[in-house]
Amino acid sequence: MSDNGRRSFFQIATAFIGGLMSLAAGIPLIGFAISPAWKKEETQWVDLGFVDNLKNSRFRKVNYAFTAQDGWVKATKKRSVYVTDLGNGEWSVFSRTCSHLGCLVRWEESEDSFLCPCHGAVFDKDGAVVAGPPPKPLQKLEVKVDNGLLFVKEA
Amino acid sequence: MKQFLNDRLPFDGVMAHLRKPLPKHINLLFSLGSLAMFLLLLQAATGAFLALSYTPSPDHAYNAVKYISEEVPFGKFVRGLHHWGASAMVIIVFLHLLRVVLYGSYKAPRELTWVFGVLLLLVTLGFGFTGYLLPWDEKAYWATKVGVEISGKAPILGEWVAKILRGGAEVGAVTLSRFYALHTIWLPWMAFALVGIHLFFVRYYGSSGKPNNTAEEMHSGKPFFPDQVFEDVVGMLILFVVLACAALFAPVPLEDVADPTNADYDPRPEWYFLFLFQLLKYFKGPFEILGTFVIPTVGMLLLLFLPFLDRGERKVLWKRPIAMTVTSLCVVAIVGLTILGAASPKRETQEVEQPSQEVQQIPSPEETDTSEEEEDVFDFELTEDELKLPDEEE
Repeated sequence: MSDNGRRSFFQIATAFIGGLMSLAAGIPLIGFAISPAWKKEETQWVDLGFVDNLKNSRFRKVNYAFTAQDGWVKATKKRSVYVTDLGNGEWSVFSRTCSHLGCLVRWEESEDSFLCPCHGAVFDKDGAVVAGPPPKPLQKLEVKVDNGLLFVKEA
Repeated sequence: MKQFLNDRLPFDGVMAHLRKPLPKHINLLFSLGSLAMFLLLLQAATGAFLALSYTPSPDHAYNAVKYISEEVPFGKFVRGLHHWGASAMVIIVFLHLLRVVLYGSYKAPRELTWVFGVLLLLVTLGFGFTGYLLPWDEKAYWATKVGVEISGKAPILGEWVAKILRGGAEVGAVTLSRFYALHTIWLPWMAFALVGIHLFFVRYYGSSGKPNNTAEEMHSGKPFFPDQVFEDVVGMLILFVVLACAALFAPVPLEDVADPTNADYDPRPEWYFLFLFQLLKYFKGPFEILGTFVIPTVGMLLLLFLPFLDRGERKVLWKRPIAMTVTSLCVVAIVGLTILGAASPKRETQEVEQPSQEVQQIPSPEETDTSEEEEDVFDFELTEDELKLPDEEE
């Protein structure tokens, strides 16, 4: 093989081996970094209190806390929701997290709406977007009543 | 595209420099420097990713490392690469240093290349020392505790240095935070600065080649690129495959979480500090400082200033009897002490479990002379002798 041919081979082989090693190291490293993106979120039922204490509530603000695994930490997480007693054992629980960028919405009784202080979003009493930039309605949480306690499904 | 870049960047000049011929008879030992560089980059990459899932706090560090090893996808592999990569780096840097000694490459005009290389060796050991505290397991805690105590034995400034390293009176949260900062910020900056200077000198003075090369042979070997680079890359591939196999199949140790009250634990440092661990056993009482400070410091200073101490003609090691003897003794001593340290039996006895007791102060006579109700608290009576303080007994 001529000198030029040999050196062309060295260049190609060097690039090939370098690429191979970059892939062999890069795929696990990138996988390590982006793994939270495909991690399935665990859900759990969290109680908001006795239904007797929440009876006749209308967009009543309820703050609660629960423990959940956060990476390597068993963390206490805090949440805030609006609870409405729809009667006949039916309940409506809205998350206060704005569907736009995550600020906390406030129920304005005078306007019969949820208002977001960040970017002016307005949701009606059913959680539908009335004004502002949110792409979707307010999140309505799954609920159940068990042993006289009102539970919501938390992710 | 190539033309676009060529017009704007000095690619042709750089390539011409890289294609310069190396000295003749360059062998595989001359790839060790490139392998060390490769390992530094691998450590930097794996370390940067491991840091994504780590908290340097005694409450969380251990669980974070466990989480990486057991729950994060590829976590075991990435941690394994980092762990075994650290050991490989110590070995490769040591072999690289031996190659330079063997061929007398540290001699004029390459003294500064050597000095910065030795500083890189120190930084490598610094990476090892600060890195193995981070999992906050028993080995991490106790090896660091002993290591910092060793620095505390240095005369005059020792205790001061130890306190700075610990960030306080004992190994704890501040120590972990400091070691993490040293390991991930301070030492990497130092390493890359030193590598930059070291490489500049290597390229500026050119490869030293073998000592018996003639003047003509110094510039008539194969070109650095692509010939030598290809050999280096093959070496890197082999090293990477070995490390990847170790990461996949050899478990990376994670002992129980650090417990400062565990008297049953027999502390051992990482294998690359075992020679020092073993050395300390031979110096007792007033001679302790020889093992903890004098020998390591003098040894390191001699190594650092070797080119200025050994100014003889450049020849291969076996034609330099004094250098040959000293190097052989040093290698035998380091390897031998490491083997002895690794083979030294661990203590098998266990502390007898006793129910923990609250510290109970012996009450003063005035305190004991109280109401009957208070006397009932104690189910024993103190005699007059027991109530005396030690210096009253005489």
